[in-house]
Amino acid sequence: MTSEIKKKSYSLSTKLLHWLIAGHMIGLIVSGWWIVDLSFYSSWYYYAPSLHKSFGAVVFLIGLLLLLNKFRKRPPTLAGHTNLEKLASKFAHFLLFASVLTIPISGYIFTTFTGQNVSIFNTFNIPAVFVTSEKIRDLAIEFHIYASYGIAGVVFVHAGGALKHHFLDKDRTLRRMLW
Amino acid sequence: MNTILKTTALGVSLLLTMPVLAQAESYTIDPSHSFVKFETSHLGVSKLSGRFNNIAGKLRYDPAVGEESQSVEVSIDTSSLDTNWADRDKHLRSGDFFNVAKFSNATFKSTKFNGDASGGTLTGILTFLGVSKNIEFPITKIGEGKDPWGGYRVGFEGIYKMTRKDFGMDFNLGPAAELVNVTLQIEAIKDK
Repeated sequence: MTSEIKKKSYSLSTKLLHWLIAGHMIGLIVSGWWIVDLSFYSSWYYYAPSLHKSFGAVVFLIGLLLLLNKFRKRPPTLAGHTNLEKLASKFAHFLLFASVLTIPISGYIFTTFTGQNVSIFNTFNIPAVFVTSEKIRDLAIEFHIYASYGIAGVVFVHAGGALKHHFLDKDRTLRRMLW
Repeated sequence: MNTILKTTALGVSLLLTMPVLAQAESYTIDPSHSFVKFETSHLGVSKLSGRFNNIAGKLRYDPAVGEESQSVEVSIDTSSLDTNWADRDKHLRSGDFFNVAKFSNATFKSTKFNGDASGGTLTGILTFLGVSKNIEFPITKIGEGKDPWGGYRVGFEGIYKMTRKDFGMDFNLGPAAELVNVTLQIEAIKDK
């Protein structure tokens, strides 16, 4: 009985991490889009970049924990999914995990390019350890922009898929991540 | 069409200046001992400075021949700007400021020099952010002489006070930061 219930939904830690990372990713993508157009006289011009970096470090950490959970905890099974849906969701999950780990690293590379530390919530510093070339820096900047907007699209597909299963197929795909 | 006109104009002007230039000694800028720096005010409380790490150019210098024998051509790779703060440099390279994706170089070509062996006023065309403007600024000779390795060197310093928005760089940094002092410290080695 208990094992059957367990199989019906994700573990509590996975659920928490999932919704945390969802909020962080949306916040980071939107704030990144908004930060680059801030005026010099906006008070956010001063505070927002440092918050964006701090939450970027957090999202990287949550991503690692979630990845750990993926291997540590067996996911609940659902019989109703077609092979194509399974393949598509696996591919989307791969992209989401890859981006949540690589986009913060690309930001770290170009923000530490001239040797400055990254201050996390003004409490501790991540030191600049890479010495890289201007080519790699420019590549990191391009990646940071395009991967972020690209992954925003994947987030839509991922959420759209969950909603499709919930409202059209009326299965537990979304509910097993909720309760 | 515009490019053809410009190239033709450049070719003609080169031909016209050639006989004069041919009389003067030519020098090549030594990038390892030349510095192009920029400085502006930060909020009126302090100064912010940076530099361009990649520059190249030629100059002609022969005070014995006269004013018309002195000229300089400098090309500055604006994407090499460096203010020792990666986030600011990233913003400065963007379309708000130097727009390096579109305009990777700023060039200055002198057209006239008034002065003597110790310095004077240099007039010429500065092309920056796609805008070409006739500018003039004072230069002084820092020194010249043989180096220990068989070459002959000369060094100049010039300061141009630039109004950013004349070249379309109008991102608002406050009234104190509309003017930028651009300092050229150029050392050049005589061509053999």
